[in-house]
Amino acid sequence: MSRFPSLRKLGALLALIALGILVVGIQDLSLPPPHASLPEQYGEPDYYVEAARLTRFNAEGKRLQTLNSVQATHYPEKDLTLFESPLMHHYSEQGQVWRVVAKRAENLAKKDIYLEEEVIITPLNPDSTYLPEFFTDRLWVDTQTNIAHTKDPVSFISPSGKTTGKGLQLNMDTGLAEILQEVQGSYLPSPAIQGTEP
Amino acid sequence: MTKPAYQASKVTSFLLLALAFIVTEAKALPEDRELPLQVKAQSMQWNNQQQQATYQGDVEVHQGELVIEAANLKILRTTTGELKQAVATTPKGQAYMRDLPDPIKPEVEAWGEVIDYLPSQDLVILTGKARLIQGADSFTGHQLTYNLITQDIQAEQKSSSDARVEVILTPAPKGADK
Repeated sequence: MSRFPSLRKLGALLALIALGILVVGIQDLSLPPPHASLPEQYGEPDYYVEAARLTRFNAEGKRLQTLNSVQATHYPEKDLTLFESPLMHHYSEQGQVWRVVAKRAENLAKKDIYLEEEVIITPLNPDSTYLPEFFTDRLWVDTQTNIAHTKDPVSFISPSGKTTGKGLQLNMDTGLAEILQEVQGSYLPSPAIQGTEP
Repeated sequence: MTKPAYQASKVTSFLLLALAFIVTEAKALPEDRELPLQVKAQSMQWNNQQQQATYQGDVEVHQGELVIEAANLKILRTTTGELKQAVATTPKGQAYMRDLPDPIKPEVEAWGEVIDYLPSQDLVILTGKARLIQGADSFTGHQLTYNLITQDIQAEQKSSSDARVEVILTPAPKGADK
């Protein structure tokens, strides 16, 4: 009997090692490991989704809203979903497109969406060469009426000036936004007329 | 000047009196025109389709010595979003404007159903029962166009109206510094 393994055994061993290397090689090591623990301020979450994208459609099946988020965590006790760095788009039948970003958002029982911290609301007008923006710290979006509102301080910034006030009511379908109280605006006079608008 | 002469021109709106000078030199405060317009109001509405901001409720506009007061103020922008025009209106009333073009002269006060401010042209256009006074001088007409820098005034009356532009210029007392 030989002291050395047979060539067949050696070949099988090398094949196993090669298979192991192959398995390790095809694994996507770029994915982060799953979260060991999630915040439990609203009970224990049952799932979370990374790079989440939610889309709402209207009765005719047209896209109405999309909500993208770095991470969405669902808490079943209250049917609450928390969104990190949400990016929301609203598409109205009248052709209005609004973009809303914030640090965080909540969707309770799949009804209103509440956004908080550094909320920026931008009407996206394909015909416009500039994008005015509304800034506030908290915003509630009624997903039934498509009206966004807050009682907090609001700023409205456009290329020529800035308007501040308290409270905002925005109809995302009609494109009418109103700063409700204590309004103060400041406009820089333009040195020359550059064009006209309707 | 006779009425038939105007009718012959077949112009819907025409000039009755033009270019009356309150002063012969421009002594306004031109630096005021470089200042930002400060607006105060109760609320502001943004119409995204029209790209238009409308201030509502006790609106006050300040730009240096220039003050405009009205119930509503509409801000019109250029295609690049810069301020082009501010239109002040007071439904069932009159919008008000005052300015101090020269510190040694009386302030200018004016009223109109619509006050149209064109900052890039330094013009204020008062329309609808327009009236402008400076000290004892006064101008009345359907439309008054006032240059904030040169203080030129152009007064027009409606073609459909028999009313005339009214100008009252009070001569300075003898020996007074003009």
